[in-house]
Amino acid sequence: MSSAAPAAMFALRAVARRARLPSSRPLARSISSSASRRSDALFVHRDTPYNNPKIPFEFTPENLKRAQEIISHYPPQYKKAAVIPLLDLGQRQNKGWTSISVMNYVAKLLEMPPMRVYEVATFYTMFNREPIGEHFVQVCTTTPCMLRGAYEILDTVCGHLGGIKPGETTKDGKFTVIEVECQGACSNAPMMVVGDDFYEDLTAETTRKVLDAFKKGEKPKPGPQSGRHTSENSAGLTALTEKPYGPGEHCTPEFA
Amino acid sequence: MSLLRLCQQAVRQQTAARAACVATRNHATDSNIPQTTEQKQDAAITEAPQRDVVAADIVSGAPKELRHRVVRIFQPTRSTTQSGSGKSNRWRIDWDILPGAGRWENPLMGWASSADYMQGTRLSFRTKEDAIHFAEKQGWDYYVAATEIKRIPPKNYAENFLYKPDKLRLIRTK
Amino acid sequence: MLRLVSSASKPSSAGVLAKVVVAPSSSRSSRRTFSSTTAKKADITLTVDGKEVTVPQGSALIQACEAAGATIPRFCYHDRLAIAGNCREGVMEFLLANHPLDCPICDQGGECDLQDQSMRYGADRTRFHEISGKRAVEDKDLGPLVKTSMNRCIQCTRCVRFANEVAGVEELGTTGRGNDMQIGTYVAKTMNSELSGNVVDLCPVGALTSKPYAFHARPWELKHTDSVDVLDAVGSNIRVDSRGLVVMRVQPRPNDDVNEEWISDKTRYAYDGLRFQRLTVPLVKQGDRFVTVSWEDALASVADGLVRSGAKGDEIKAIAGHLADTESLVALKDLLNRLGSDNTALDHVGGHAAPVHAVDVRSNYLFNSTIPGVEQADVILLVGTNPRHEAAVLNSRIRKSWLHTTLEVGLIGERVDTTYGYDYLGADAKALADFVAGKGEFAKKFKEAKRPLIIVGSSLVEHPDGAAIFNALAKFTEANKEKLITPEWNGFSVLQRAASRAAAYDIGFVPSKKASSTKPKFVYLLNADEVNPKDIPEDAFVVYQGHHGDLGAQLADVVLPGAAYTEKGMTWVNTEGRAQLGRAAVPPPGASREDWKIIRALSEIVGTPLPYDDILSLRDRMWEISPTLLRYDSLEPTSVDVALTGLKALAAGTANAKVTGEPIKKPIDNFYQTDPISRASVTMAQCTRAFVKGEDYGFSELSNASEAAFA
Repeated sequence: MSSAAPAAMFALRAVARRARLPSSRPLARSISSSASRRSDALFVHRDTPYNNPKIPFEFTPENLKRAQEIISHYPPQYKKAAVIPLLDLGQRQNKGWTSISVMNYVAKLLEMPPMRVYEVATFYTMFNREPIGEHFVQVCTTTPCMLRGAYEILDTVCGHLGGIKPGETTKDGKFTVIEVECQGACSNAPMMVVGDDFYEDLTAETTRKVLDAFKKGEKPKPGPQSGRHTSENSAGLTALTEKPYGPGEHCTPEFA
Repeated sequence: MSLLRLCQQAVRQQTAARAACVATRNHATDSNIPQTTEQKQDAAITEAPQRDVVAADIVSGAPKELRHRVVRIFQPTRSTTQSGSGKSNRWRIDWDILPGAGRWENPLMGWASSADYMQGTRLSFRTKEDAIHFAEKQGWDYYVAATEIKRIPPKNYAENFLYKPDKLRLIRTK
Repeated sequence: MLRLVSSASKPSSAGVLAKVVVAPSSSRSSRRTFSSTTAKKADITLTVDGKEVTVPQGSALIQACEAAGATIPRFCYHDRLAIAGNCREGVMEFLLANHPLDCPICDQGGECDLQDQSMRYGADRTRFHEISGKRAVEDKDLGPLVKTSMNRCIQCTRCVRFANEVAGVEELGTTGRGNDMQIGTYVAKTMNSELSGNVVDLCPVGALTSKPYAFHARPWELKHTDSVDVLDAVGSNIRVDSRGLVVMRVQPRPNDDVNEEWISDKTRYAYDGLRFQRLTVPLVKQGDRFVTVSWEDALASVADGLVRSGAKGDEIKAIAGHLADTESLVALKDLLNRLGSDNTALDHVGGHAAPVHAVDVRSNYLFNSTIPGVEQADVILLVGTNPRHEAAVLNSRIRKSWLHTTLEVGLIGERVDTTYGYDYLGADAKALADFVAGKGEFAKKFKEAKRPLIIVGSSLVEHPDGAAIFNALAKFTEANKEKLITPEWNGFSVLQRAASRAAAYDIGFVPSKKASSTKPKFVYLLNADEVNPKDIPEDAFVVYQGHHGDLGAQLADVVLPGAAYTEKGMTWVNTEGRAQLGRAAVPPPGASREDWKIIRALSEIVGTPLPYDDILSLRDRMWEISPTLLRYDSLEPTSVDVALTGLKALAAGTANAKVTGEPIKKPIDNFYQTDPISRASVTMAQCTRAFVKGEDYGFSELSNASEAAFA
């Protein structure tokens, strides 16, 4: 049997396909038509002057005491379970970011191979592996916040801090802005986190106010910036409107 | 008719002699019982019932030199580069390379040339007995290579999370 | 038409032989002690594809299916690694979404699980219209052996698990999460392990490939030859892959009795040494240089040298090196004996005399517990040995046992990194004396052990206190015979490190007492490249037979080119006493010949022809010497009585030994270069630079500059 038959068949199919396809579509796909996609953060460590294993790190005596308290929660052979709280402790002590020295120190303290600590530190996004500014601003842009105008907030923050982009730090080193996923404050959307505190019910104006306060070195009151107490109905209460009864009311006189 | 009879008789003697020869040389290698293993391998090959095999090489026209080469009967092992164990059930016959200049490089093209017409030959069989039968029929000396010894302990996912009372010797990964 | 009617019944070939592989449950239950539920293992019978199989309780379903002969496609599951449970199989299309379509330039092409499975189960049309492009991951530099191409990685974590569990390298791991997860060391580090090459095999895709083999050959071009490794005394089963006249690579062959599925990096990567520094033609020294001669002339000048040297009897000395095969050892010993000499020495420090343990009883110099038996031991005492370098694959078994059981290890000798924890008892004979006396924590543990094991290093034979140490060990073993020497267990094991050593002892390739003190006039070096040149008298006539122009050839007056282990089908006896048949993959280069043939030819010329003309009659002769040499792939355990007699003889023979107190040194400083083949290997030289000396091995810069070039 000659090989001409299958070749002819293929040719036929090719013709058929060509006929089917819209003429505008090129037959050959270009080799690369899309922009390369970059990761958010590098998952390898590169030695830099500010981040290399030679920079010493050690817990302060208070932190060491806390660390030991945390370690004591776990069975002695499972000390490694304390790796996340200890990394967090280290990050707090190390100006908000987890340097390679912090990871190595935690590994040594918990007697685990350093790589196992690196795995944890790179897995969780709350460990910053690059230095951050004094105030760490995390703007939530997950669906509920987004629907309530989170991108406006993000733009406001970036613009107000001198036109930086998410992931960048201001020149004076005071603020770092990043975009984060849900922080669990959806009922007070949109929101952002500065340091450890939530600033909720934001508008462009209140956002600027909060940031300005931080710039001045003050600490604005965390929570809803809209005048709401917590996440109650902003249009006024529709239930539980009367004054709550106090102790002793509706009781027999003996208990009053 | 007489030719056929003669052939058969000649062959019968030859086969018997060869079988004896193989036995004394002790090529069959799979009659082992490793010290620590509970494996019981069948030692049946060497003591296989004497079959009245008619050798085909009398009439096959195969070169006489083949009689001087021992063939190996073996079961291929799984390639370690892949997970699949396909083709490791079959039995194979192959030849050792011819010692001494059985192969050379073509000076012009750099291709490998060989005077050994069996070097690329590999025969596959369903069972060991098939392979042995074939070798006997062809009048080849053969030896049977031991098959792979496989002992895979049971495994389960839960082992990763078992509590260990003593100091951990292995920090597991995700 | 002539028809031959065969009266033989047609052999039955009904159905493919179903290989039902089930691990014996009895041997396992004693080993896994960490779980109370696994202590009692019942068998479970289940039906897979209409086939009934019985597997031990606790087996994974994939194992049961495997046992029933149904292969389940898999990526992350591996028989010899922990189960990770990060199934890749269910997300094939997602894997392919990020997997580069570079099979034509990928070294895994042709032996790639992902390729095979997408061919078999995948769609032939792409649905990939992702606008953001494929994920790109930076390549890692793991050293001179393992080449990475991380774009191809599917994150099955087999390499991570192998490194963590088997190799004991905890530096490899996964960083990042989700789509951006990648395998690496996070900080720049090479993968420093003598088993690292195995990750190349484990990798189901082409992310980890062999650097020395990169772009050299395709799997379908290669001729596979099942053989045996000789670069240590484990006798790892290997498959030599050759193309034409060249060995392209060496792969492991699974054998659970010897090397499981692993081989050391030296075994795997030293093959390029087979191409360099080879002796291809006979050479005769004239003045200060070697001159090429024909075989006839070379053999004649050896015979002539023998006559002119005036060597008689024991003045004719043979030294057998690490890579001498059993056949040539037998032939050489026969030749020497026929010439009236008993001076058959071995190529190690003090090899001019018989070893302290003598060679009369096999169990005095073999690894009696057997290699798989190591996993049954609950306490191991290492004396003067570093198994990690002397028998890397065996070491991984000790580590496996140490990880999964309560195995305790003690070490007497130089401190080394063994990949498992050990109690350090000291470096000299005194430490052993303390142990024997029952001093210390470890001695107590050893006393309480059910299956104790003593692994004695081969370097002790070379040590000035060797006799005293062997004496103490023999007495101790005898005193504790109810545990150490039983019908099921022999806990006195000597770990040899040279491939030829066990065979040499088996055939009695050791000098008589009288011969060992004789000054030789004629020295025949068979693969002897570790000799101390000072031990060879200036005026002696020296013949070197071997395959590499290493140390031995330099000392020689006549050089006879032999064949390397990949070029001859010879018998090798490993440290357990397991005879295995190597096979020739490629012909010997140039005019070099198989070693026993050279000796046979020489015997003709010197006038004492050996009575064997072909390999079969030579093996008949070996059968006469010891049938174990031809009982391939099997072990002949020594009986309790003989083992005890051997120990008594050992104790008696070394009774007068004095202790000098010299510390025991590890015999191998550089794992990567221990023999002429690995010393000639460029890859091993790079490993030495990268791992032993910690230098830049010459590839780093290159790989950094153009990391995206092949992506």
